[in-house]
Amino acid sequence: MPEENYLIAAVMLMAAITYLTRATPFLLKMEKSPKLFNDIIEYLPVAIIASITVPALLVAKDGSLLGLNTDLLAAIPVVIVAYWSRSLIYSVCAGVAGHVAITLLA
Amino acid sequence: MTSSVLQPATRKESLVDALPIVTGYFVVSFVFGVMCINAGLPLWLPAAMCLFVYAGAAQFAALALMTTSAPLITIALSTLLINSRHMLMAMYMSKRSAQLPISKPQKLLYAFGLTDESFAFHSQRLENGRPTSPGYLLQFNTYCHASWIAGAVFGAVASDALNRFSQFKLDYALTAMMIFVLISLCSNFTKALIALVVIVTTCLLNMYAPSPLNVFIATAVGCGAGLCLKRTT
Repeated sequence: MPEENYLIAAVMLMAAITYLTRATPFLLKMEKSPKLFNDIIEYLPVAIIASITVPALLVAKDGSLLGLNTDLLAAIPVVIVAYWSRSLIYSVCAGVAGHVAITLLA
Repeated sequence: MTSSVLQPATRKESLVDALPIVTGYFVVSFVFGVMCINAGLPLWLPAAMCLFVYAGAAQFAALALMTTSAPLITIALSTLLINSRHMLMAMYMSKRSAQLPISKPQKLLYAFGLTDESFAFHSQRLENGRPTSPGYLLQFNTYCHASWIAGAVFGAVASDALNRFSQFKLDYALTAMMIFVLISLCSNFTKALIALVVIVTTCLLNMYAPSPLNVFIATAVGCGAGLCLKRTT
């Protein structure tokens, strides 16, 4: 087991760094910002979420293509249910149920 | 704190909305707790990590580094690199929260609970123009954080039961929620196109140069494409 002091230092460092990356933007003055910035702000959520969600279903961490996989297939019922129902809870249920079904069948 | 914190209606709404994240976090941090114990780390470590750090991917990366007793600077850099995307999210929330009656201490408390999933849900809610109080946002984060800590503690205590439990990936709830949010954020052609551009860009970058910073590049390319489209139409 690694030394206790080492582990405590690691947790404290990680906590400080994680909090700083999340908190510093809240300290910036955002009231008077150029129009271009306002346009970008509107696009930020869709861009960030597209970037952190979908590629993880297609490309592995080492850069190789994943091909057809359970996570990708289970996304199909989620997209369909999300598009038609606009309901978060139905979408999540469809995804988890789809994932379990595919795991059992595969 | 505003009076909204005390309103039962807000409390119930934030709890119901947070449920998919609460479930998903519990499962993921349960696995984290199991892995910590299996790696020979003490029981307090997963609990302290989940309480003070509260960052999924960075915690799993640090777990691998700590078991090989990697230098602290490596752990620090990996945490910074993996969590750097939260600066983008915090920038958005900082800008948007200017419209809310939210105080500085509340913002700084909110920042502690900002994660991929809470950002996804809150940004979608704000973009859709739904009335959102600081109390709602902070309670939502508290429920998510509490289940993150609880999952790790349960997982660490019940570390032997993992193998039967992990057959089904119940944490797919998190992926499903992110996909739902993405679909509902694609409210017009421009935004759908931005999503497509970002997905293609990120995939290509990840194939040839995997890095947590690819999110920044892809987001910039996507927003740039959106701005061009807006200018020409």
